[in-house]
Amino acid sequence: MKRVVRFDKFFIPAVVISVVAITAGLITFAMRGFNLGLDFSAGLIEEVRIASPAINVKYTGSGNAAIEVAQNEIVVILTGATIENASHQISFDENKTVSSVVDALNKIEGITAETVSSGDVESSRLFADVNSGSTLSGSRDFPIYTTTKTEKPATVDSIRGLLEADFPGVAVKQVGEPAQLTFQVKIPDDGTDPAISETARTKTAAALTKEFGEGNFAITKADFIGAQFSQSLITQVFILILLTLVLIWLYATIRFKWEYALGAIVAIIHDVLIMISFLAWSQIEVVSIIIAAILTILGYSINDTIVVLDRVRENSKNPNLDRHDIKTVMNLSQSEMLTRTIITTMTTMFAVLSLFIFTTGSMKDFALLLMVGMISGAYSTIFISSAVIVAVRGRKEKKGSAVVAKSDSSKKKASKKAKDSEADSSHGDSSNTINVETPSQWK
Amino acid sequence: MSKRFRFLIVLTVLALCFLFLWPSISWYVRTPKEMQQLALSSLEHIKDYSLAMAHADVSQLKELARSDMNGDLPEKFLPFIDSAKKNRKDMGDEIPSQWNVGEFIKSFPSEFELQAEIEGSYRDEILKAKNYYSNSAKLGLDLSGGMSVVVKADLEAAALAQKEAATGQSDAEFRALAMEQAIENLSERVDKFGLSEPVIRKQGEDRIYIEIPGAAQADRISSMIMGKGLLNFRLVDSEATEKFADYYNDNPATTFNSEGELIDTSVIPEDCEALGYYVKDDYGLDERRGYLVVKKEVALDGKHIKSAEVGSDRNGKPQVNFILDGEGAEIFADFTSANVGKNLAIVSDDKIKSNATIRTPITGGQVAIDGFSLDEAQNLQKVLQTAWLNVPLSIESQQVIGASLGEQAISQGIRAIEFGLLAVMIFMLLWYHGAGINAVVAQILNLYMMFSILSAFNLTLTLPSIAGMILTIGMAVDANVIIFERIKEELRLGKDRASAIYSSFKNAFWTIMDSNITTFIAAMFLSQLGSGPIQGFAVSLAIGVISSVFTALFVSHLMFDFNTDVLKRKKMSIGWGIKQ
Repeated sequence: MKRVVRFDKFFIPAVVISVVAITAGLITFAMRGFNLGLDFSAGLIEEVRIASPAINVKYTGSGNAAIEVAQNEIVVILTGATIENASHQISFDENKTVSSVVDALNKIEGITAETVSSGDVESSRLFADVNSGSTLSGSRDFPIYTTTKTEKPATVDSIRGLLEADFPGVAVKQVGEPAQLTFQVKIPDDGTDPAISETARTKTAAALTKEFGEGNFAITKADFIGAQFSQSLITQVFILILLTLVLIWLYATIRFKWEYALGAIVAIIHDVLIMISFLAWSQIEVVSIIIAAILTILGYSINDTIVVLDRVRENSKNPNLDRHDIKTVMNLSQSEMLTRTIITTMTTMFAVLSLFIFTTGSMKDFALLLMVGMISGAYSTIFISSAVIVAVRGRKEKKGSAVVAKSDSSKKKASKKAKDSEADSSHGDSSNTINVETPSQWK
Repeated sequence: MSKRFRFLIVLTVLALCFLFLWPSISWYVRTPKEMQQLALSSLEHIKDYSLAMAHADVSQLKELARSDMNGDLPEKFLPFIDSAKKNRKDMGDEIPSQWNVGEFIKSFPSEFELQAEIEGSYRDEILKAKNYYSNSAKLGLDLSGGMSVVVKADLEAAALAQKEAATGQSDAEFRALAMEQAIENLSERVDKFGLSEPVIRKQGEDRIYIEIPGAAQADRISSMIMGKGLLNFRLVDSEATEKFADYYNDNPATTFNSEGELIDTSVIPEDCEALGYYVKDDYGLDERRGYLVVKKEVALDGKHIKSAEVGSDRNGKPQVNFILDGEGAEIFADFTSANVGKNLAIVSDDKIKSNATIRTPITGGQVAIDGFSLDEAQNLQKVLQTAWLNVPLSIESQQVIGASLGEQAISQGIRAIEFGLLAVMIFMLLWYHGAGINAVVAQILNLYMMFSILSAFNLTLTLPSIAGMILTIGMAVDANVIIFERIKEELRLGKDRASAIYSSFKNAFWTIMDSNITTFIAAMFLSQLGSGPIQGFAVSLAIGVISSVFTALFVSHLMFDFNTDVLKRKKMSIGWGIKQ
């Protein structure tokens, strides 16, 4: 017989730990609130890089030329009826300096590239912005940027200072490597300006132009959410989380007894609360994908719990066990499923860990939150759900055994039975099989 | 369910999946970037390109014929020999045994026919690639870079403006009409940028969702979305138009540069410009019929149009009646009196939508244009409608992602999948030994099925959906673990291999179903939240649940049975400490 772990010993401490963690989280939330990301706080978020053009590219041929500036190469695609259709790749590994890249570009028919910055700059630092498009023309320069030393200082404070006049609520923070001079500028939309998406962008551009000069900054990302949209999103999120909880509870009630379903639902509510507390404590930016993490853990944690409850149901039918003693059944089921619970948590952890290691930004936060949720999920499955079930069933059992005692003819035997079963259950012995009533004369 | 039947089902599913995956593979792997660029451009551009290529080919052939009639036929014409043979048969001539330049040219009754055929083949090639694209999984904006905008149409303000024009429509009708108008305007304007396959669709009652993949000029596009369209009337220079038509026929590829400007500006008079004349085709898309040379000077600005309606003339034929305001009527009276007999072009956003002859001076400000079918009349009325039916648009949300960020995301996603899959697989092999292979194969099959379902429904792959796939792998392994642990237990109780497998799968079935159904519920709800990235995550999670149930219950079972029945294994390699 497999070794059975006496989980029920840990029920009370586990519940206490959880309550403490959640309360701490709620207090932190009351003090700091959430760090609401773009989707939930209206306004414009732009990623601005203070940089100047290193290369200007023109196309004067008779076809169409498109350019893609990627992490480690530049691709120029020529199409058209009068020219040879081809795509030319200029890898940064092979052309390590700007002048080398410019030479390679000029070799392509119809392309003229000129070096604007110093030719010795490393090509791996080249990047393009989002406002230049991808089509090359003969009349317009296509700028490829690189970060250089600026005359005026480019810091969080200086940039905030530039924009505060127009947008008092602006928030600026630096992202990425410090040498890359990348700033995230957040301009809130309080609903007063209907054309805020335009004005926010144009005024920011104007202020930056004034300070750093025309074309000496590049916008690499721009997201805008209107006030109405973000508001409706917040309500949507609440409704969704609630509905998911309700539906899962319904499903669990149909498949199992209601007290089991209750245990399950309390476990996943516990997980949601732990995740929310973590959000408040870590001040991770709350965006849509973070909500996705919460909903995923809802589905995942219930998964865990149901597998155990399934085993509980099966063990309850086993005539060799004292199926009326919920604690023993619970301990047994949890112990049997322990291997599976740990292994599943581990394998999913591998998957999420790889996400955490290899991604950046919101995806990284997403992975982190998932890990927290999964650990909480395993914990809640083993301790919280069983604690609830044992507590509820325990009360039911006390009522139940009292009923049994009354219906028994011999009062003495009855009270003895009650005493014995109580005494026995306090041992919670794993090899508890049939309750043997020792006749009074043998005692 | 018999084992053979199960095997057949698995094979069918795998084959179907390959079928669905094929367009995606063809597009992303087999289509070179230049062809991709062409395939993603507008139909108009593809037609122009094919025509120009065909024209160049035919010119080349003519050159060769001039120098040496008996010269060898260049390779690129060889595919058309079949058609040449057929023409010879039709003409009643005999089919030559050797095909040289002269024989080939003789097989085609006219230069135009040959050109049309070559044009068709170029176009078909590009359209085939375009077809692959539409049937494959798309890359989301966070992976390809690009722009997505949600625009809100202020229907209330438009309704107020319409009350002045009073065209007697019900409120609901008007709203639908206004939305249609707004979407069409936006489509035309976005098209002007010549971007690859923009997506513009209605979302809900009063929102429009625009998605422009690939790098685009973000700020120009945003301003363009909010701006108003241009509608005006211009005088057509018929002589110059004819001259220009000839010029264009001779030089289809070298008339305009990539920006749409004339390369040689001396072809048309200085005070004119050449604009395309567009008619709506069967699909409701603008088809360019030719070019008209119109005066740059605006004869009448569209803002003077008060209303436009479709009616019928004395003979019952369709005509479009529009009414000008006081100032407009005066301007128009002067203009028409001075230009009787000349043509008037109605220009909307640099596209000519109508070309009408001025028969008599129009002084009362009530204008009637006739000479077209009912469809054409209705289309023209819609064009004129834009003058006063102005639906104010506001940007509700906008996301712009640089292409290089997209590439970064792709490589991150790929590495994450590789590492996650590898870690899970190594663990399963270490812990479950032989049975681990079972799990590994199941997971690989899982990924394969997920990608093909994505491709089958042309869904969008985003970084969150890659995350969903990775998560699915982790959770799908759970099903295998449940079964394997069960098998271990059964073996410990002393059962033999076959019965252990049988009872494990039977007992584990409902456990696996229960747990996956709840994840599925969560995923379904999640897919309703927001759009784009989150949906991608939820959808791939949902797909992953389905495919992992399939691989765990069907494929794993099959593989175990295969070992039992075909390889006649008696024992199970399923980990340590299991005595068999």
